[in-house]
Amino acid sequence: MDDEVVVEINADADLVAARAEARALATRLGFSRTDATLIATAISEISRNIVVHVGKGRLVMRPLYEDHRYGLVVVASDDGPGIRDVEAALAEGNAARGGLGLGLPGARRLMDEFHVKCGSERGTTVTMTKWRMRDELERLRERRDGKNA
Amino acid sequence: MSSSGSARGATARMPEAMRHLRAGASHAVFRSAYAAAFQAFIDDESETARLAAYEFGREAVSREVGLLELSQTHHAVLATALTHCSDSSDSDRITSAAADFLLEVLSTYEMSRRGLAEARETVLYERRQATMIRRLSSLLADTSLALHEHSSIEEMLQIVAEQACELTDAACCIAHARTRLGCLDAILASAGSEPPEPSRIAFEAFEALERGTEATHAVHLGARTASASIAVPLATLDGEVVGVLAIAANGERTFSELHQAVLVHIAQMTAAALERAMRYHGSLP
Repeated sequence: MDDEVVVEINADADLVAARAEARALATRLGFSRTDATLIATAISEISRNIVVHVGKGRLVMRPLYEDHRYGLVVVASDDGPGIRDVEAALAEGNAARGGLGLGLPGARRLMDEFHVKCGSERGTTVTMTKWRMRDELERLRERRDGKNA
Repeated sequence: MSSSGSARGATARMPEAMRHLRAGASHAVFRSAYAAAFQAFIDDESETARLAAYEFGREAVSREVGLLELSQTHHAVLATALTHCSDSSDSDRITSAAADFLLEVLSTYEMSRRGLAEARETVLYERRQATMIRRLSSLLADTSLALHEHSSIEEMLQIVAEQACELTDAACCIAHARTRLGCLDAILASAGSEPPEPSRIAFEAFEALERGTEATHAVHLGARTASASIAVPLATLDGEVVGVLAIAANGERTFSELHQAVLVHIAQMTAAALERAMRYHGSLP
């Protein structure tokens, strides 16, 4: 798990480190510039959510290596009061910015997988993943070069 | 494992451009704010500058700055920046940085666009549901008088079960009616598992409801770790329970309040149709 990256989120300024780490990891995994930007945006929305609603939390990012695809997983956790109604929080119209589709629901739409888990007492954990499909050519090249992920 | 280093540059530079943006809505003001953010990005393509570009786009979306105005502004600002280039490598660098800047600015627009597409799908889905319920309603009204035969009640229950499954995305539905002639069940389960797990859960749900038939309007919610079921009574206007309608889901799916409301609606329509038919033919239990 030496590929794992942890970024503590305590203030707006920490978004810079979170985004930089995510972009570096996305680039290592071969994501396009466009996808790396979308990942950075999703991370910004999640981190901003933590700063605004809870004050502090942390992001853990790690790569996923599968034969047909590479993934970037982001786990955002905080120790806040939790989200009372997850479904409502993810629904449109409940977004803080008057239904513009930003915030938590916005981040969900930029990623491929998105799960919110609330602790029984406190705390919220958001796990989101973006996948990049690997084509036959890429896998063949890797086998030829004997590179192992 | 690495930890965060904080860079305050974004917060130092960005508010300046944002203040201009907030101050007025004119094109000139927006353009000068855009030019300032753009120049900051060209000078320093760090993550701090990228964050500022993203913040700028987010603010633009919040202020409902149109995409056309944004594109035009970007083009004009880039053209101006290119006129000051010393050589071709400089212009290459600026063009490439401009593309990155635009990506960051537009990422919030993309997020918003996806939200819009999803909202449109939801509206279409709800419209489809409304149409299906209307059709089911008129079907039940039309056929209720012809329900004198045991077999046609069964047929009606089958249609109700099919529609309930479709409208709630359930894996299984059981429509159960009690008439003077005996009990009738219509069971509809999606193809696959044998014996169908959802079907068992739906049975359990309505058995639980039957045991507590006192509460005729109560809704029984069967919550399991890996499945969900809802059973609602088919009650006459007098409150007499003449049957049960139960649905169950597959896997980790659970039913929303909307699904529950739809099922209650279908149950009410079905009960009314049954009651009419039974009264008409004097076969109400």
